[in-house]
Amino acid sequence: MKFNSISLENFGPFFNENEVALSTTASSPIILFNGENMRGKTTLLRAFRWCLYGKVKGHDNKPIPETEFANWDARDSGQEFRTSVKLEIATDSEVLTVIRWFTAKQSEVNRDSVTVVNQGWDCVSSVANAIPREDIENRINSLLHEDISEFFLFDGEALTGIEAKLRSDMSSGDFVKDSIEKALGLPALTTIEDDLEILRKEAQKELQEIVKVEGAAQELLESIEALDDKIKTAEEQILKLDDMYQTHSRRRAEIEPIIQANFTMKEKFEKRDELESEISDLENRNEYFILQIAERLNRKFWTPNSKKIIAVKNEVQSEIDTLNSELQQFARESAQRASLIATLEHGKCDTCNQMISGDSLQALKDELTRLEESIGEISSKEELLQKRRERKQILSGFEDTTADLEIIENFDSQMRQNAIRIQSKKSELSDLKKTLESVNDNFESIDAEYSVILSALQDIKVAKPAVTLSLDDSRNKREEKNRELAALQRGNTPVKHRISILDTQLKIFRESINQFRDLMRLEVQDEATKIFKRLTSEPDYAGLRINTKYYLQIVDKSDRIIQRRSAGAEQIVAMSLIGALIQCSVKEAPVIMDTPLGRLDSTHRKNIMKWIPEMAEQVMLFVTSTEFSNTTDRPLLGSAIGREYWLKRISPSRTEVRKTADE
Amino acid sequence: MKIDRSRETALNVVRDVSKVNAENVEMINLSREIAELGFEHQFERADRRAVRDALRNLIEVQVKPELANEV
Repeated sequence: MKFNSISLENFGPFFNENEVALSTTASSPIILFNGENMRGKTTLLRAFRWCLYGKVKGHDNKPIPETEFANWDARDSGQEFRTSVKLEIATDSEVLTVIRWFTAKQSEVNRDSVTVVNQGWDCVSSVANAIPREDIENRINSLLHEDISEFFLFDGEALTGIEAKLRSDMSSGDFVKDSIEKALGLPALTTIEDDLEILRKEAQKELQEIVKVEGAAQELLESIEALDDKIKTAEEQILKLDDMYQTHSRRRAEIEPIIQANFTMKEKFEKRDELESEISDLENRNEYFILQIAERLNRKFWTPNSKKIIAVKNEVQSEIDTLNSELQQFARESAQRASLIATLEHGKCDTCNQMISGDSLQALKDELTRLEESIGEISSKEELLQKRRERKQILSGFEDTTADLEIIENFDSQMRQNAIRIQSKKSELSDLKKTLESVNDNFESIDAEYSVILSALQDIKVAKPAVTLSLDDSRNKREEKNRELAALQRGNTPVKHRISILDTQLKIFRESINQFRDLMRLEVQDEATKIFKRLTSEPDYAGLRINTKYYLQIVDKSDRIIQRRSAGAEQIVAMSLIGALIQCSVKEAPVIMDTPLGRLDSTHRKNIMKWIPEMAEQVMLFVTSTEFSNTTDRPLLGSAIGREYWLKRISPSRTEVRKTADE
Repeated sequence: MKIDRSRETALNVVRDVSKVNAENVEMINLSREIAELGFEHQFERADRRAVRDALRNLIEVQVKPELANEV
């Protein structure tokens, strides 16, 4: 099958009708949709799923209500409007047109939502006209069954989910086994085996009735009846175990993404606690600093001015020294004055006793005048000295607190730095708290539930083989008894012949199922290895192995299992498995990949680009400008690109699909 | 790419197993027809009555005609 076209009407950001031609040729199988984030690439992928299966899951694995696909502009118009997706699908024998739609109007209670007025799902065949509603699901599933559609229509986010399943020790084997069996069509054989078993029971009943009519072998019939009861009980037990296994598996599938997400959330909660503790520590430290500073200032309040006080003390001391020196000078000058006065009184020199001349006398008088003037200041100097001494006395009460000041300054500096850190951490904490506002931090209950589920699954795995063994034993015994019963009936009869045919066919189909199971595993392993070797950038990897427990392993050239895989290798393993399932699948179908390249390095991307055109006869690739480079990636696809579109933003609520050539 | 590749693989397995287990060529052909019927209706898992009727008819054809009048 291939898609000829898709029409989107008021679906997501696609306002009114947007028809997109999708037909491709064998040499140009790729349709490229370019679009930046928030342009509707994932919505376009979801449009395919919704139209085909009516169910769409979000990245959180929860179903998205279809009313959320209503275009906002259509909703806000106030008029009743229609949201629809129409797919034209070409098969070998016909063209099917499938349309899923609903009409709706804006809700009067909540203006952001819509109320569905009417809805429908129609399918028209080019050869059989309208297909009855009840047959559409089977028709679609016969083209691409919903169970295997996740391998054909997948987005980058879903790929991480598959990677997580492949990583998980518990779910890896089951996931790979289920995927292989679904994709390769094992149910075609297992369901026909069940049908054969039912026909076998019918024939056996018929035979028993005939023998009963003949009145023979009452004892045999009773033991067959007892074995029937035993078989019925064992079958019911197996069904119950299968049912429980499926229920637990489904819950496990729901929980695993939550646990995965919880890892991130747990980290955030831990970060929140860490931030709160760091803030509290810093605040405590600052309180300690404040107390220390306060205590020091209470005892020595002058400490902040201690340097000034020291400077003043030094200054006062220096003044005192100067004044002392001056007063000593005065003392010397006083002695000189007394000597001068005596000399002038005698008019003779003290030393030589000769009379002093007039000029010299005048000079001595001048000197005496200068000395008297100088000595006249003595009282003010003494007064000043006294004041300085008093000041010195006062200042001596302020001991040197430079060391305390240094400690206070150090505390103050640390406090300021802490205050900045507290501010920054509080801001980070506030953002984190907003993120965690609606998150329940009760991880323990979900972890406990997960561990209960794992243990229940393990118990079922252990219990089922024992019940199956007992069932096989009872079946064999019943067959033996039935053979004895048949022997009582003379000759060969149509019923006995029918039973013999059914026994042979059941044996053939049971053995075929076992062989096909192993063959499928090996076939997918070979195909996955081929793809993996093309995609991987590690030359020492020899390929992939799916062991008997269905664990998917990377092996190197020495046949050693690679225990630790890089994130890039994880994605390549997941893509190789998907590629192998597509290649080996029971049905051929188009592949749609939404932003699958974003997390890969350039070598892996280059390898994938070369492989994509071979994936299927029609491959739709949704890419952003950051994951698809026009200079390096486009040349690798070259003429394999059959069509190319651009998801053009018109407004926040509108996108148009345009041919790239039109841009 | 081979269309319905796994279907071909399954039919080959059934053929090989039936060659070992079946008594005659009719039984081998019957196995193939049953397997094809299984693939034709592989996605109809809920109501299998129609499939079982078809299966019953396939088997009934194989019941030996000379036994038709025997009880």
